[in-house]
Amino acid sequence: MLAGLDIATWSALIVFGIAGLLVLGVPLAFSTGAIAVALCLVVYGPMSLFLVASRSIEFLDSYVLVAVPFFILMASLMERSGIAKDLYTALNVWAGRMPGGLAVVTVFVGVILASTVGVIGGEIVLLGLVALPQLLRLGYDRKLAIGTICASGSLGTMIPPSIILVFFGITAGASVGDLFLASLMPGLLLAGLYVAYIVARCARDPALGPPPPAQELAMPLSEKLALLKGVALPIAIAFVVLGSIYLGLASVTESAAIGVAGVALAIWIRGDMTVDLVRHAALQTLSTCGVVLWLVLGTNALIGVYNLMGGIDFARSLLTDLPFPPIVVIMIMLGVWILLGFFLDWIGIMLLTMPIFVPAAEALGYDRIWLGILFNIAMQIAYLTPPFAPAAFYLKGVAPKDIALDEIFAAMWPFIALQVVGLALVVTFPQIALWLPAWVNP
Amino acid sequence: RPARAQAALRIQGFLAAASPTHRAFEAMAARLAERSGGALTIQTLPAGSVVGPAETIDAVGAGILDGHYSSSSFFAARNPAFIVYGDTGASYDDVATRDRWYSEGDGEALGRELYDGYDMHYVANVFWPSEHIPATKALNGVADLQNLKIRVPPGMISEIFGMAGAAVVNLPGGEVFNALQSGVIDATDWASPGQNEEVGLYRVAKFSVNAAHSMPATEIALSKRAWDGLSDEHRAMLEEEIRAMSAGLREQVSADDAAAIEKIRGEGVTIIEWPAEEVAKLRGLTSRKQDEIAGRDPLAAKIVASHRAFQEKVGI
Amino acid sequence: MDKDTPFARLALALGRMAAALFVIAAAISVYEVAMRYVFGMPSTWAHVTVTTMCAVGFALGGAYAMARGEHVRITVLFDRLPRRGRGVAETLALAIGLFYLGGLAWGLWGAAERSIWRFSADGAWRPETTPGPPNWPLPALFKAVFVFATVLFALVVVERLVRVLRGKAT
Ligand code: NA
Ligand code: NA
Repeated sequence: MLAGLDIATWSALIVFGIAGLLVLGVPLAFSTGAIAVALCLVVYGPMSLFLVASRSIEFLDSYVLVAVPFFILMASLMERSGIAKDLYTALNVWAGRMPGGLAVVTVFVGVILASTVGVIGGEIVLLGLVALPQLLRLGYDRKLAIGTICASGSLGTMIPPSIILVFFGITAGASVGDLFLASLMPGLLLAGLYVAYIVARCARDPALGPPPPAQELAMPLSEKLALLKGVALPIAIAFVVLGSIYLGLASVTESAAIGVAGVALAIWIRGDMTVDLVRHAALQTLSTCGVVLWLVLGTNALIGVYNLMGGIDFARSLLTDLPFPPIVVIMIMLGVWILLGFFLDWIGIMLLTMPIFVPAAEALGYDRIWLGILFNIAMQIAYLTPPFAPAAFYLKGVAPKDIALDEIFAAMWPFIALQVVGLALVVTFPQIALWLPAWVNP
Repeated sequence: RPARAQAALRIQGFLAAASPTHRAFEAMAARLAERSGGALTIQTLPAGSVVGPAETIDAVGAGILDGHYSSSSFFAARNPAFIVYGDTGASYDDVATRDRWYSEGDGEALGRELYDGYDMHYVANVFWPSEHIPATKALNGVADLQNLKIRVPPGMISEIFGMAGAAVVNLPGGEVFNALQSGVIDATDWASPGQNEEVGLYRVAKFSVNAAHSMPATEIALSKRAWDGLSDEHRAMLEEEIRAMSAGLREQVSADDAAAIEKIRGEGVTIIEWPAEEVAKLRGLTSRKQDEIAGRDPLAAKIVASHRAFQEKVGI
Repeated sequence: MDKDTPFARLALALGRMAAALFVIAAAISVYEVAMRYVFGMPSTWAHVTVTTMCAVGFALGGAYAMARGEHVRITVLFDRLPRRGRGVAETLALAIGLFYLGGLAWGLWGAAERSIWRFSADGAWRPETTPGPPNWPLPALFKAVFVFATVLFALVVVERLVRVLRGKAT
């Protein structure tokens, strides 16, 4: 009986199934995977469980993922050694009396880190371990602090280098270099929107982002300068990582390992190095990866079964011959991406939609590079939208235990709104994305 | 089983949906559906949409897919015969000569024998263009490969570059662009000039080198079960349409490549065609490697022997 | 508590060992960069080895996080349920987990078997290796570990399910 259903009915059943299991409190690592297994069994029989296994093997046993644990390891080492605390103490004093100053600094740190990673995960863990305790200690509004960290930590795939843009370039046949260039300004635009939002809210209500205590600010200049030592090591590490990428020493993934080595060296210089410190950092890495990657395994399996069942053709049938002007078709694509982003990760969304969207956008005369940037911004939104919100999951693993997932979700909305504004701006003014590649390659 | 009821063959391709090869595959499926009055249809699944590119044979075995449009080079880890069948390296001067191995030589018969061992029916070879190496320095011959940092996916071709003295770097495809730009690597194995140009490799690589270094084989193969289930009429129709698709791709991709070469020349990229004696040197290394692999498996030996005979026939 | 959760303890112990793989993998990557950049001698083994080491860590990380109760879930409704309702919801959640892990393990078993139980034409045992030199059987090794890790994950879930059904946990 079930096997005779058409793909539209299946699609609806899948969406309701995921939503139902999530609401019931089924761990996310189980919900989408269980649906994938059920679909395999019902529609194709037990042999087809090979699909679930094969996709899971392919996903975990891949060099692309290696940067994630390296960056988390680096973050965890920095936090446990006190390097991070010294950094934020110094930044805090130097950020001065400005309301929300430390949150603004966090966005800047996010942008700089983003230029050293191409994946999501490590950066959020880093900011979650390093910036969140400091923001909370100073009495920042919890939601503002959490939202700032999740949004700016997600910039890792928005500011080049970016794994999403590389995959899009290969999938859509677009120049990866142009995509990197085109993504830079929209990435900075998003960061600018976050800063503007933080400043505006804290200016109206300074209690949301209070300045440091008077005695910390009333420090003599000599002490303030002494605090700069706390900044020197992290800046040196950032230079080493960036330098290793841009001077041609290392690939982007390898540079994350160089970052780990740099942090280890810095800890050793400070005299804090212990076996215990490394062991705890490594366990933190294992547990964070265990949580987040097992959660992606399920959605990744589900997308494979859905494609096999004709998901791509179904999506195509929905989008063909729409009697709308081109820009409305683009809006529909954005809507589909944002909607899918609630439930799926970017790889799944790319696999499902690009076979239809790339030719469709092209037929309408739109630039592939622009389409890639719109996709990239839509995936920034997808990182934050519950229930499948990778940014929230990475943060949850390292946040203080009293911060529940619900609270993290609730903190996202203003930043999601800002991302939608950013997306709308790039839709309306494609030049935000396209002028830089055009200027570099006339 | 809904797909069965529609008499559709589920076939996964090996490239992204927007690639010329996958579009040609979709167009072929559309013609087939039209010619058969909807009785013979193909669900054209892009690369990775169901399983990874190296997993399609197992997926066919598990009954998930009915076939693949892929390159046998993806299955090198299964059997040495896939290695020597999947890429002929510099065995021939150009793809046109190599492709005569399918039309005049034993190419397709050996492909059939190879897939037979995996309970699949090799239907027909599909055109894949001649590849160029995007490089940041001039490579005029085998001597220039000495200590060259070149990215080649692990396999026979990378081993041949290793024999030529290159410092072969293993990097996933996703890292190639950054690595070429920053100088982690000097050159990369990728695809034909048109495809290289499309992903922007010539923005950073100012040389495009035709060393005849890699000529992958691509083909469409079905599970025995699916093939046996087709009527004679449908089998003939499928074979004809695949050959038409292959011919169409030869024409279109060659035009794309010519246009890309014209374009990148205008952008200051130097096109380097290796002279026959340099290709011959690379061929010498390729033959040595092939002979070594032939010693590991009887079918691999048969394939290599067939190439030697055909090379002699065409005067190489 | 320890006595009736031997699999959770095993998952934690294996996790502690697997965590070291990330540190070793980072060290290998730095070594590879140095060999390539300073000496112009890239290896053919570093990337595959690093990839497999991290993949083993990821695979075992699932059971480890389960043993520590760290897998994320949405608790909006769950928190509002009465004690009995929570017991039912928890039982359902774990049963669904078992269903998924069982299906995954079943599929992985087949994939691992095909990868490990391979023979060449002359009958010699040839488990699946990396496509290029050093031709180590890393893919076969990883698949074996992945099956084991998934079964261990499932056993940790079973332990938890037993405790919930006995009313010892919610
Ligand atoms: Na980045
Ligand atoms: Na989301």
